[in-house]
Amino acid sequence: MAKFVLKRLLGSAVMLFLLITISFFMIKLIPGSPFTSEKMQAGSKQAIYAYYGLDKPVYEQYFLYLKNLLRGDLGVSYKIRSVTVNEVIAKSFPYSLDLGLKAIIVAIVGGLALGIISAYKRGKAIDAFTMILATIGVAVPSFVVGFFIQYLFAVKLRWLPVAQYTSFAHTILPTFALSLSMLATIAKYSRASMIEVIYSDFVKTADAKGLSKMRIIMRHQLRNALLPIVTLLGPMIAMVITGTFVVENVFAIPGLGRYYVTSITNLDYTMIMGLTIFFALFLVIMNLLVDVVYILIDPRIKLS
Amino acid sequence: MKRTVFVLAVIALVGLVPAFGAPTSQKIVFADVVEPISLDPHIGNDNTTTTAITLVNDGLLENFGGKFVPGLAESYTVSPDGTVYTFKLRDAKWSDGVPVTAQQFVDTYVRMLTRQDAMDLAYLIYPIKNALSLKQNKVDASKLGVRAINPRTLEITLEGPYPFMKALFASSPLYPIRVDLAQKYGKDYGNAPDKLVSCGPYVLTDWKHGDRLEFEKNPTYWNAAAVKTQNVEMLYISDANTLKNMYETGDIDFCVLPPDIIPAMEKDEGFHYYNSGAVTFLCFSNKGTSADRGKIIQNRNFINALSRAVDREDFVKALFPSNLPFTGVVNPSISDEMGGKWSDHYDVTNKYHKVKANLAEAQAFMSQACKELGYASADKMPVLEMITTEGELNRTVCEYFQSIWKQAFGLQIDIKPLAYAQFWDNFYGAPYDLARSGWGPDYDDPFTYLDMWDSRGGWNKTGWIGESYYKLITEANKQSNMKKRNDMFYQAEAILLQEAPIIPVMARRGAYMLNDKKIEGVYFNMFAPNLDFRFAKLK
Repeated sequence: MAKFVLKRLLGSAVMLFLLITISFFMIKLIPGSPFTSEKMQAGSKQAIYAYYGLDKPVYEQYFLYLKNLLRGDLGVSYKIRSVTVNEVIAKSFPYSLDLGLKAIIVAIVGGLALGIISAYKRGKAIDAFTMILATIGVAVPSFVVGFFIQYLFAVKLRWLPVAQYTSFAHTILPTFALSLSMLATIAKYSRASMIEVIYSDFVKTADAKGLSKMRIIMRHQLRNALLPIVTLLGPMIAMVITGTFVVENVFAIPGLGRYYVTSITNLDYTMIMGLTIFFALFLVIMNLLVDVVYILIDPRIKLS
Repeated sequence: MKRTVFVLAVIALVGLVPAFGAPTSQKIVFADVVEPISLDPHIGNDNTTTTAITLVNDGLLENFGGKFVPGLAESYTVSPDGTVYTFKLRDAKWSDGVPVTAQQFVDTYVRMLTRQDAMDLAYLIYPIKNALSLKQNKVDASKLGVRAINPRTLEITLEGPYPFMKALFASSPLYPIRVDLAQKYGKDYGNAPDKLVSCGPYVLTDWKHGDRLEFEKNPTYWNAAAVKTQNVEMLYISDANTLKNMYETGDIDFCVLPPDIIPAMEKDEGFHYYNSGAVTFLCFSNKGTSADRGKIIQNRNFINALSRAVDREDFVKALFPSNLPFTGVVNPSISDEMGGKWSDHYDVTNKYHKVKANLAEAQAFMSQACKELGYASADKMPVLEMITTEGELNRTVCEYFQSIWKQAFGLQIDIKPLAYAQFWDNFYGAPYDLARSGWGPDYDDPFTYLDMWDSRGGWNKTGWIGESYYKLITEANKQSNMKKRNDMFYQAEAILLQEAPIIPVMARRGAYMLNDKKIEGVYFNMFAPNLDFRFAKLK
């Protein structure tokens, strides 16, 4: 196991390095800079560029960036001059993490529940409903869902707040908007793996032994239904990250996703690089953890 | 194991974020789709940044609903030739107890002209004597026309009797700062409550970057008696639709509307149009993307043909029902510095460019142009490139012109949408043929529309020199008689409309939501801050 983890970490380090390099040069290729504006006067452009070292040749800037990166210094935001990228990440990540975690939990619990119920009630109305919900959940983009539920529940019905993230009530709508497509996917997969298991021998044995339905589900079948979810967890985390860009914008949540989007529009080099690296690192670690968990819970998998 | 997972899940669901959504006492809540850049007045003067800055700072003068009243200066005198302003500062203090002194203004303006890292707002004080020279390092700071005669008397000498200086003294980039603190905190100055002191109606109590700013009434403000509300909150709501929803539920008390949401809110209670003073125009480069294109776009008949083919009334009705057709350079609602508006005495509508299209005239211009340039007809001309900033509506605007000109002349235009920063890079540096562009006024004076076309300055990179033009406006600025100055400005505007590579299109209006039944004491300004709520009160 240790060797496996080590190999993965090494591979990830290489991948991250490539990502940093490619992103750095790609961003520099985009014409324009964070300081261009309609009121810019001729001489000041040189002054500002010199101050931030943007007048040096690109490869020199690249090595300087790497040097700072090794010290953990991601630089200063070019747009909001007084804030460092590290500070932004430290302050905003908890919001995105909170929202993401909630969305994943809702997606797993809700998706599993729906999947199990429709597996048992196969062919009945609830099954059809689940499948329709699954299709809608995957097809409709999260910002459409977001705007719709915001309008319905917050503006029209006034049951929940419109936006921001200052109380538990505030988290309900964004969590739902973010989790819907994952919930739908999980429902589909867990339904399929439940159906697979419902008619298997070991379940027939448990039933014959007189165990309650609930007991059978929780003790014996759930483990099987959980497997595809663990497989899905990796891409799900990626989906959550990208989903936050949109949902945070719609619900005015001060998370990293919103910063990412605005930094791209502003061509805020350091912010874009810093957030890209952070997200990539996060994804790499999460994927590694998921793989480790997968190996731990499924005895059928061997590390060779 | 299962129980641990369960417990962890519950904790995660309840949240890592503390719940503190308690209802609060009387508080004004304002929101905008962007965040203030900084509370350092030298870094930005966009509407949002200015709105925040005016809460924690104050100017020599204040713009109070269009009138310039004493601010930190309790009175001032102007020399007969209009070039020397002498301000008597009142007994005002910063929130840390330090008095506001004349020397702080001197230090502030020197810093503005000599700092290396700010967004360049220094150009706003070039009217001050030797300001430009100091910026260019040609003189040292002692030569700047700003003097502290004594701690409460400030003397400012200008290069000429620029009357719009009153407006500038009331604008945020000219607010004083505490240079001692700016040097102490460096780039962090103005970024957090402990890195800033206030001499304005409010103090900053919290700034959650990316989320909100919170302010509390400043008890040491010289006019604290006029401040009626204890707390103010400025929220960052990046999505226009969400902003609309928050207004409808009463979560925010008022806001300036982003343009795309204006049609949706028009019928709502509290909707107000305002003349933003901004103008949209098309401009041509002198160089062009190739030599033959350059010749075409320099041809006066060609430009006139393109202009005459556009029906500005139709254009506005089709695409921007809240805006107005425009055929000039100086926005008619700008102040004429004589107590009225520019349009009181000067009107250039339909003089050179026309509101309604005239196809026959347009085609006559075009055939003349073709003759002069050596093309059989316009469809034989090379395809011209039109650059614009990105955005659905911007693209549609260009497509409108593209199709009009194709129908009228067979002329072919290629549209090239560019990212904001890239557009301005192109506009200043790279060759282009045509650009869709615009301008917003910096201060309430016609000069803000004329200064930009001075080819010796930083903005006009079209390649059009206009020597007679810039000589005229320089002369005009030396006049102390406003009527004479305005007459000369009017002549200069005529030169622009006849000689410069510009096609005016429309004057932009904006809109804001403000429910007067719920809140009073909010003033609207054409300039930043658009909504002045320093002395507002919820009913």
